[in-house]
Amino acid sequence: MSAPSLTLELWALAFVPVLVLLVTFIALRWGAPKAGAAAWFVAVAIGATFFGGDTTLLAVANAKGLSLSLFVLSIIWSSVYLYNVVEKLEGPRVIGLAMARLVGDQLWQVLLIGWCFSGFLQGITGFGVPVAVATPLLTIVGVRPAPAAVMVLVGHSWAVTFGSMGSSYYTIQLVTRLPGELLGPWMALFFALPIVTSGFAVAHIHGGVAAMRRSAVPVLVTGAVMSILTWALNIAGAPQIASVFPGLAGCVVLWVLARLLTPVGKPRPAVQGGAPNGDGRRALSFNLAFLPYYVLIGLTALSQIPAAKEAMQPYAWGLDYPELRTTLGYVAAAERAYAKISLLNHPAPLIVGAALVSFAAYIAVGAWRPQVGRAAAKLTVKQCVPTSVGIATTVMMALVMNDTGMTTTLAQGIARATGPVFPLLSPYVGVLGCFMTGSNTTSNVMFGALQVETAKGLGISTVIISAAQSAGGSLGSAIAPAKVLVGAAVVGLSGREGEVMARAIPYCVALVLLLGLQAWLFAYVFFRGLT
Amino acid sequence: MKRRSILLNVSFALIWLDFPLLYLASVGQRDPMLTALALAVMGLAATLALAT
Repeated sequence: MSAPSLTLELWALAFVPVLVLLVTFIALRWGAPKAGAAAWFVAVAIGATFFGGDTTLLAVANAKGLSLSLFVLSIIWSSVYLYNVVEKLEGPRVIGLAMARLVGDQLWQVLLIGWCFSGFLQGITGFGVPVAVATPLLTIVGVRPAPAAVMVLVGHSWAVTFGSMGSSYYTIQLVTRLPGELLGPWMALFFALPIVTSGFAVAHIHGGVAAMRRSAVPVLVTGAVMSILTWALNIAGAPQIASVFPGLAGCVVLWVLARLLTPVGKPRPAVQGGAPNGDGRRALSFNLAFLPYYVLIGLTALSQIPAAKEAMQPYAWGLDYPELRTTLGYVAAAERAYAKISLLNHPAPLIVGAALVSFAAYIAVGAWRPQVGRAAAKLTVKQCVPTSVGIATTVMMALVMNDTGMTTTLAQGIARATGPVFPLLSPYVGVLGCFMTGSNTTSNVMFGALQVETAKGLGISTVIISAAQSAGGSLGSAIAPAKVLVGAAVVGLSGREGEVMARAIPYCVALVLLLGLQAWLFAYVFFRGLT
Repeated sequence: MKRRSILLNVSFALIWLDFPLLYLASVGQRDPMLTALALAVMGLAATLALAT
């Protein structure tokens, strides 16, 4: 797989599609579909003209891009639809208010809602939903709007890679070709630091250093539990719930700690639910609102039983792709069952199963409304079509860059220019991708292979650098304009998005700096021998 | 807003309708003309996204 000879001109040409994305997203403020399409055109033109990609190679690269997009988008569409149905039945509000009532102290409430519950929401959905749901809840418990938005933006960022049912994680695994059983646990280990530091960041936003000191025990204990669970779920082969479960467990641990460590306050009213509404429909209780996620957790556990895995092994779909060579001699390897979607090892079928069971239960108990399914479907199409076009064009662009050798050329140049400092900067590349596109998944598509090739060039662990890329993208979502806009809008700060972003940036930069230091130490000191 | 939505929906539909054509032309049939056509359809989808 020899790359074209590295020259400054060739490196500059390979950088042009990335530059087009940067300029169109940041300077011109184009949306993802438009910017992705522009970058795709440029990548195809440069790939064909300067990197020797013929029409067959370009067509195969684009088809691979769509295979990969299908893998990711099926997770996104199914999880967003499920969430939208539950949201139409007011489930997230019921769950959030129940969480807020668990603890009395405001510092504990901001940790519970802004750090753990928002992480749980990121686990089940994504797309700015944690910001849209948790930020108003914080204002309900008395936090001012701007700090509330910043708390959730920073607080949920630990959960993005394994969030949205693991879509970003699966993407980095696919583009780097690292086996899940190796990458998952290392990625989880890498996330222990951001889990804890994002908790402290939320406390700092709430009350400065004094609040950080006061929250030391809950953040460290809860963060440790969340980190261990994230790792254990990856070891168990369930990365798709490696934000859902830890986020939920974090809420429970904080509740238990609050009962043990804080003075008993006024008795709190019970969460409303279960009684009929004005329209005769039964309102959702906490457990009913949570039912789809109980079922999903159950199905995920079932899917890990070896006998079930074996029985379902034939039920998988993936396309084969041939080996192809550019006229400059770069070889794109053959692929068997590329971006394979398995019935039990892919989140989308499990999410669909959870949705069907839950909707049947809602109908059975009288909590269903006839128009909910259709309204949720309309909303899902509205939300997911632009995202899908953006992801498809960006992923095709990334695959064209990969298969024509542009990514390898870029990586070689970066490795030569940065040398041993690279692990320190690697997470910032992930941040950049997420900032540009608002998506950890797209950031991983754009830069995952580039980061791995750079790591290979430097002779350091590709696993650690992949983790650094995705963790950087995860934390970068705190300052992604797409999410900041949502956070500002839901608490009436439209037009003051700059203020929210300016408050979030120092936290993001500091957290990513710690991440970079961790990556450097892992790569050069603690785990030099890792793949 | 409505124009943008229509363009995006058409672009989305074209991308996914073109997927089987792209695969069959380049991997299955290995037909250069069909492959070029499939790439041109993808170009059209990208143009529509660019026009939003």
